[in-house]
Amino acid sequence: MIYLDHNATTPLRPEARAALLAVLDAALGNPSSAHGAGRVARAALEKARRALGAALDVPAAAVCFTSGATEANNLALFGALPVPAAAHVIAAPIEHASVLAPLRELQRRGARLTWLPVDAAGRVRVADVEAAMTPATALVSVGWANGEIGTVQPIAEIAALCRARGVLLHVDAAQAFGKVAIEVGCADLCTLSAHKLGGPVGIGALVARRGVALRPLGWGGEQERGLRPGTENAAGAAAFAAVVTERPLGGGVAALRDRLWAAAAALPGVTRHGPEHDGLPNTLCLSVVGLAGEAVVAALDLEGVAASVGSACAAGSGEPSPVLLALGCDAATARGGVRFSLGATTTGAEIDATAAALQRIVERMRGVGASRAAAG
Amino acid sequence: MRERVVVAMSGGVDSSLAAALLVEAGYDVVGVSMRLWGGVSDSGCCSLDDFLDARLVAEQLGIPFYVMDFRAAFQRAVVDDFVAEYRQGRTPNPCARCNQFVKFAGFWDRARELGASSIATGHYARVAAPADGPALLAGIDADKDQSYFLFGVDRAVLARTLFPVGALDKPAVREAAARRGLSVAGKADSQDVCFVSRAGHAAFVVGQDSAQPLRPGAVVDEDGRVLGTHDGVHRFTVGQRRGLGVAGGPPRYVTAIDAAAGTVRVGAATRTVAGGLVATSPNWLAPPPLSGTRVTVKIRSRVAPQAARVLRADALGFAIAADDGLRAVTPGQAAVLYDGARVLGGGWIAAAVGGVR
Repeated sequence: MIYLDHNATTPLRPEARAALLAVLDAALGNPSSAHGAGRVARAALEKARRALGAALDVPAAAVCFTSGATEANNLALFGALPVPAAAHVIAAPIEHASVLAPLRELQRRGARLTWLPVDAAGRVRVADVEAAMTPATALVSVGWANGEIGTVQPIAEIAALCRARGVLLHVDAAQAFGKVAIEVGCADLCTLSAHKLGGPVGIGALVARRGVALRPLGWGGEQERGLRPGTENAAGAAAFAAVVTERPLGGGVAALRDRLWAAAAALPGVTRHGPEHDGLPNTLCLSVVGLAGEAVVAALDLEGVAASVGSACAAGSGEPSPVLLALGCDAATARGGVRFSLGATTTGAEIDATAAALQRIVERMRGVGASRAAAG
Repeated sequence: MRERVVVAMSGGVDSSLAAALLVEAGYDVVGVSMRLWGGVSDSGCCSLDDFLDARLVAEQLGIPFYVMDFRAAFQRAVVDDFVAEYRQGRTPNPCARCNQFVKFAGFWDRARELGASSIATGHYARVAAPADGPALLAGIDADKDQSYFLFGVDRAVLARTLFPVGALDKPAVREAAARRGLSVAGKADSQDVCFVSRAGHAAFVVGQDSAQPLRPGAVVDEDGRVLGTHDGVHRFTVGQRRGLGVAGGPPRYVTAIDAAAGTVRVGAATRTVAGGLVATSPNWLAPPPLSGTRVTVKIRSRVAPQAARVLRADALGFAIAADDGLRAVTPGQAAVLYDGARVLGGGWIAAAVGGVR
């Protein structure tokens, strides 16, 4: 199988696996317990927190471990806006569902929402963020990178603006982390996930700047400073820490991605979505006019190539991609999106085989469409 | 290379066994669940549980499985038609419409996109290959036979269609599924129109958007005397006895519906019997029979075929006269002509014609 769905999840890296198993084997206690076995687990957890803090250049105390990015996004948005009725929130319309759905729920509870305009490549402009701000603006939420089309946002500039205006900034960095260099500390609240960069599923973090008042989503324990009740996942945290120092994806991945795009662009009716050059180095989102993305992805799967229709969290729904709709695509095009996301281990031979498979599939499907048109 | 066949998997026992039999026969089998309906329904159609059942069976069989979206085609060809037909005083047949326009036509296109040379479903019907081309035959199990609902399948698609359970009866299907350890072997059969909830079709018709409001009208007898009123012709079907809103008197049945006038005509049971019918928009799965040809006809799913004579049959429609008359000929339903077990073709009933001789 050729795995080109690294934005959905990545294979577990050996060092993450080793760290995971080491803590599972050695730390049989509960990190909160007052005995030796508990202290072993607690030591592993706090070591992981320090490692994460050091790698991200933030205080270890700023790291709140969660079950992943979805929980971290929920904790950031609901936790930072305890009284949504009074709050004005500014957000990008191309966020992951775990940001969009909480925002809609906050809206239902009375928050006022302003959606930022995005250009055809999905980019947010700092000037638009500034223009959207009012004295009531409590929070801005913009993802660092979009996992579906690869757009990378100007977070440093947005952070400077928010700091100057005294507005909280939440950044979902789950898709940027590990792929491009990011400065987590510039946001007040930053969402991270381990399994997008070789860590295990089930561990992520919300990095909260000191002084940001947060309320927990649930109650039942004092773990993670009371923000995240429940027995801590020390083994997951250790595995997360084991991959956090990985260098971002290099130019080699971008070159392979560009090679795949060059081959795909030669096919008739293929459109690319997202930025061509300044986006995530591993992401290519395209659609073929007249073809359903779910059919292309299934046909690729039958050829042994794993790709995705937009975000994995929306696969199988048949709904047009909200991200592509926000870019101005019509509904048919927005149902046609196919995402290839490469990883550090992707090879040139895999890219060439994928390009050949895509060509076979597009030609076959165009033949079906032509015969249907002739019959109809 | 093995021949690829895409099987429509509903999560029920019939299509699950169909997939299993194809795997055993050596095909390169791909399972697809069709997402047809996204509305809220307590009928359980297209529920996550059904998709999960199909997924589990596919996993057990070791075949790839996908859920694919056919909601737009289903809405257009089946649901919108369903509502429009009831509003016109006709009684639609959504299952036959779905087979004709979605489950076979659209599905076959998708299967070809996936590189398949055949499709398969869990219907109780058979395909034979006589000299004049592919033929649709009734399933072996007379109780479960679904050939009536399949008359509209394009003949070119029929040539590429497999019905692996059509040669079995239902108990044999359940037993074969159980023997293979399929988790759905004991699952209950689906019932009724898949997208209409227990609240019934009338509530569904009312709930769907439409430019024209439903219009109240009169219930009249054969002589035009007003016996009562109703709030819309969508509540009635020819042959209906209950819910007429007419108190007392002898048993009465709906004999005709005039949507333009808003009138529902009722009469004695004998008045629901017609000598024959005219059908339009036919689909022929054999050359149209010549005038005078002896056939049998089914005008609803759950009755035995009745002897009849063809008066006219061509690309525009057909007319037949039944030997013993037909009870409750219902405009909007399908009339399907058989030569023994073979489906010759069918069409949509336009009108009952003639009294009983």
